[in-house]
Amino acid sequence: MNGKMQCDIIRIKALYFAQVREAAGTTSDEFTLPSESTVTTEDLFSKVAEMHPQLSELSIAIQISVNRKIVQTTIVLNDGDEVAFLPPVMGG
Amino acid sequence: MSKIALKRITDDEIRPDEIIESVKDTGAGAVVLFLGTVRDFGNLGKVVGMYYESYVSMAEECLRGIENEILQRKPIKHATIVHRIGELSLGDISMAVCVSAPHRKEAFEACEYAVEKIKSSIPIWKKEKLTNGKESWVRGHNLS
Repeated sequence: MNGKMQCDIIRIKALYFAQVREAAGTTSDEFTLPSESTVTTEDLFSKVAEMHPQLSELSIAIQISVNRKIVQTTIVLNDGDEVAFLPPVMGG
Repeated sequence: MSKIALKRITDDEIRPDEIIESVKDTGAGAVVLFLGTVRDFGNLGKVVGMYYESYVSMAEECLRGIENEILQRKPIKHATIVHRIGELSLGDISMAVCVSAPHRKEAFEACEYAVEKIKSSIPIWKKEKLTNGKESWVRGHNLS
């Protein structure tokens, strides 16, 4: 009853692009998790793959960015993080 | 830095005159402008158009990063990079890189450097639209 309860969740936004977006059938998902849980980028990837099984059919490497920075290793996510699932890029 | 506030990632047609204006400088004896345009053939044959998609906020940060990197290669005066997204037709300008410098050599080099970086280090994806009605994402690179 001290108002703390309202903060006891973590919100993570997942963004999908190009082939990943097409396979997922949506541009984004929002995940709400209990704050006592430790959620990593790998955990989020598993949740996304479970929610969108068509992703397993993609024969491309998917990179992950957190708040617009590419992450090469698994990291712990925080409330409000924006996590993007990025296929190989090609500008020009 | 570009002198005019242009959007780096845009849905709008790219206007070369605006881009050139953004790098003008009385100390520059050279302005190099590169335009990427949609051509009528690709990896899988004849192409009728191209679709570009981007993670806009990240791509804008990356493009500004490349501009700043170029500006540190003295004596570059100004640099502007703009990339278009959405549905493009044959001949449409998909991207523009414009650099001003006192002399042509450094302007050419900086422009080419930026173009190569854009190909492989910006979250942009493109899909070829083929004459047979099929569509195909162009194979790309991992971001570093």
